[in-house]
Amino acid sequence: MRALAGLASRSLWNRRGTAALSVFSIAVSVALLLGVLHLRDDARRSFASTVSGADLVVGSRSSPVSLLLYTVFRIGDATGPVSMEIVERVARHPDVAWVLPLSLGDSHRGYRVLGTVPGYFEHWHYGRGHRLEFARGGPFADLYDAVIGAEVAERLGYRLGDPIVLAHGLGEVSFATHADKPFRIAGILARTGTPVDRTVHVSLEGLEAMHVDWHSGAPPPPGARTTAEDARRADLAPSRVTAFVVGMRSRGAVFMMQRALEDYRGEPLTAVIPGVALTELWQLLGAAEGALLAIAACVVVAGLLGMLSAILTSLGERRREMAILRSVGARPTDVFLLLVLEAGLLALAGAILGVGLMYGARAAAGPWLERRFGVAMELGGLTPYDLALLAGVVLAALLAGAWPARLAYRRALIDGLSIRL
Amino acid sequence: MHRPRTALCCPALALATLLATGAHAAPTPPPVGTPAPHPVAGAEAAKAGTISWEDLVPDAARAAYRAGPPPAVHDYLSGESGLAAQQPQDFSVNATLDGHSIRLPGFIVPLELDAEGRVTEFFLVPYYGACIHVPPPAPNQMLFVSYPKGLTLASMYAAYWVSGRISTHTRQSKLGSAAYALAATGVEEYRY
Repeated sequence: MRALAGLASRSLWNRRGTAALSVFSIAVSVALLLGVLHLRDDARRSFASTVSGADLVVGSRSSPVSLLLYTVFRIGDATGPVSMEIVERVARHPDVAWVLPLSLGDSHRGYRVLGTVPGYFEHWHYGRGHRLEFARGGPFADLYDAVIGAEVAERLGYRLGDPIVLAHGLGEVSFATHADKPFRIAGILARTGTPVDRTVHVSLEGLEAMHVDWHSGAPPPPGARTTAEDARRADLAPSRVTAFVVGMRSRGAVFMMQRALEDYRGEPLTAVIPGVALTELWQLLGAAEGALLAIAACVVVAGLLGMLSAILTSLGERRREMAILRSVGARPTDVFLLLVLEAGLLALAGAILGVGLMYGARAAAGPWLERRFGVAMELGGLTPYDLALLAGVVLAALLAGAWPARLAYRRALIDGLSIRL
Repeated sequence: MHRPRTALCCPALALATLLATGAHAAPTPPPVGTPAPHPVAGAEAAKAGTISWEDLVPDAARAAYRAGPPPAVHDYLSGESGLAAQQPQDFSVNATLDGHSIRLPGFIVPLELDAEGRVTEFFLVPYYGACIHVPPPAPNQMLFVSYPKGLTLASMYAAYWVSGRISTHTRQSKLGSAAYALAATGVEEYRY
């Protein structure tokens, strides 16, 4: 067997051009299959562990998934504002433990700005009840303090005390900035692996101060601007926010609160239980996942068929090679095994190259995926399931190789030493 | 990370389910209009293991029990103490069930998910739709279940058998709020 394997690999090396093509096609298909599987796991992990301990997320009327996306994942846009009046009403309710108002709508170099209360750093949990921790500094103390997430600090190279100018709107570039009211970085959060890392947090009053002279939705002309210092003296109580998160004192009352908010006649609201909306999101994604996996499986099959056709077409040219082998004492079964091993070796090489391609692609695309879709990539090793899949691909190749092997076996019996071409 | 085959592929459990459903077949149906007999009283049902949603309502309130959705809760947001008197929902618990091992079928409202997307904490409710646009169930018609092992939810419309140890708490608040909690040991898909 060892001799045969050596022979097979040398024979393949002799035809390395076409063999490389077969290897590459299998590698691409394996990379696609493993890549889809790992992406699915990354997405699941990123989304599932994003928020914990919040009983209700409430915003202007929209679909539950969309509400969860823009409040928790900071993807997408809100459909409308929520008045502070309802936020305060809910906060005063005896069944409610805490309320976190959230205000979105500004950005800094593509990272979202979130206006909130200091209680956010205490009550916002992620994963299995993990609290937010500060790598440096602390929550906002001054009006113009900002707390940034780990990725914002890393990617933009910010340190404590650096000035940060916020821009109006959610694009990566904005032509209407709040340059007259720069903020100062007062805290940098430790990495969480959630969208918190990509957020710049400021106080609600700070957001109001930035917009205190933006009555027409645009910055006022130079003469009419309010300076940062003057803004401190203005009335900075917010009248509207984008959404709010509720923590209930008694869990059993969450349905009643949800129903009461949804029925509230004062303004159109949607209240979602985060776990429910996340599960709905899963079920939406599940269909897409299934389709992607099916396509990836088909691509693997296509890769193997390509390899098979390459071997079959090469059989005609290799009849002389088979004859020479027979003449030096190879039995017909050796010829059979030789061809099966060739198929196996091609698949093995393709699988190994495919794993390399997959990791390369993930390392290259990882930062972009995290930025754009909030999916944090974890470059872990291959799971047992991955290894089983790879073994399955090699096994399938071995089985597929039996077909050209059998053809060669029969021809070896028929041809003898004289070949009629 | 992949949906495990549910336990009902195991023939022993399929047989048990068949026997259980077979045991409920009545010999002759009573005439229309006969009031339904009381279900097995709380403690006895708990010893039997499988209970029904009616068992969660204590004897005193059972006579007034109405199946179906409760009326709208428009005034809940005002939080005034007078609300409890207006509220037809039942806040009392059946204390005889406390500490028993029970098995109850219901629908799952997920609350907490773990990193793999498995549900580790959820409400068990008697009908689907106790989620977003439909009236909530009465407080003593829902169980807060903790299941650290985590359940991969096949679909929000799927019913599950949940077994575990039930505990009852009555929290005193202005509105009165009861709670059943369950430490789940097993969750299986419900098949007819």
